[in-house]
Amino acid sequence: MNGVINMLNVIDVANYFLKKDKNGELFNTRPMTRNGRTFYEGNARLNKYLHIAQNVWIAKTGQKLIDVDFYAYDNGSVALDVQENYQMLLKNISKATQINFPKCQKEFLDRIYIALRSADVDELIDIDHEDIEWADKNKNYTKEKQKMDCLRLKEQYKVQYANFIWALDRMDVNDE
Amino acid sequence: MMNSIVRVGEILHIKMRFNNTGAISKTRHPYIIFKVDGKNSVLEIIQLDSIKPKNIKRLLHYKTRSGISPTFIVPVSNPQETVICKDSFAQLDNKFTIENFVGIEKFRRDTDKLSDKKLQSLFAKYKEYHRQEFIDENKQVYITKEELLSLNR
Repeated sequence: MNGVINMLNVIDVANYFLKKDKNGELFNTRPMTRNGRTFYEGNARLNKYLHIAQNVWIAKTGQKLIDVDFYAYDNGSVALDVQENYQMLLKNISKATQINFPKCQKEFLDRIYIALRSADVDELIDIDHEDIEWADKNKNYTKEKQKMDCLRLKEQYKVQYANFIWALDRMDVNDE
Repeated sequence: MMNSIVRVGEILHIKMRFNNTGAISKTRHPYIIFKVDGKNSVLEIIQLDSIKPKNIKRLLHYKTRSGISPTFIVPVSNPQETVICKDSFAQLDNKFTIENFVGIEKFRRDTDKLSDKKLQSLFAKYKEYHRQEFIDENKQVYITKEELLSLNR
C-alpha cells in the first residue's frame, strides 16, 4: 500500500461489520455492566472492532483507516456516532447500502472480523485498555478531554501490534 | 538429585491444566523444556500454540508499561523447523512446572529441538517477561507426576 489511501466513513465500516454477523450473535443487545457502566455487549464489541482496526491500520500504514475520533470511555474507546446510534444502526441494517470498499481495506476489515470473532467482550476491553492513548485520555473527566489522537502513537503501535500484524497478514481465512 | 533423561530445548507433547481454576486442554500441545531443575526434580516448560484465526487475538495483548508482549512468535520457516508444522507462538505470561520422572520421555516424540537462534530468542524473551512482569498466581501451575499421567492417559 503506497501513497495516501482515502479514509472510510465510520458508519459505513460499522454497517460492514454488522452485516457480517448474520445471526446477530456478536452484535447483540445483551446488557452487561463493567466498571460501573451498563451497556449493550454488541455495542462495546462493535466499537472495539472499530478502534482496534484503526490502530492496527495505523501501525501498518501510518495513516488512519477511518475518518473518526475515538473517545476514551471507561470500557474502552468509542466512536460516538456509532456508540450513540447503535440500536438504530442494528434496526436499519437490512436497509443499509453495501458500500464497496477498496480491495486492500476490505480484505483488512475481513481479517479483523475473523481475528476478533472469538474474543469475548472482556478481552476486547482489556486489549483496548492496553492502548496508552486510551489510558492517558481516560484519566480526564469531560467528554471533550477524553477525545483521543490515534496518530500520536503510531510508532508505538508499530511495536505494540507487530505480532498481530505478522499473523494477520499470513492468516488463512479459510482455516476455521 | 535426579539425572534427567529429557533436556532443555526438547519438546513434550502433553495435555496440561492451564491454570489453577482448572481449565484443561482438550488436545496435546507441544511444550518446550525451558529449565531442568535437578535438585527439585521439576521441569519448567513453555507452551507453543499454532497460530489460527481463533487464537490470533492473543497476539494483540501488550504490556505497555514494560513494553513487552506476552506472546512470542515462532515461524515455522526460515529455517524450516522439524518440531512444529505451522507458524506458532509461545505464551510467556504463565509459569508451568511439572514433576520430572523416569518415563516422562515417553511424551517426547524425538530429541529434536527448535533451530538454535529461535530457541535462544524465545528463552531470552521468556526470561525478560518474567523479570519485568508479575505472573498471575492463577497462571503459576505445578503438575505432579500423578496429575500429568491422569491427564494424558
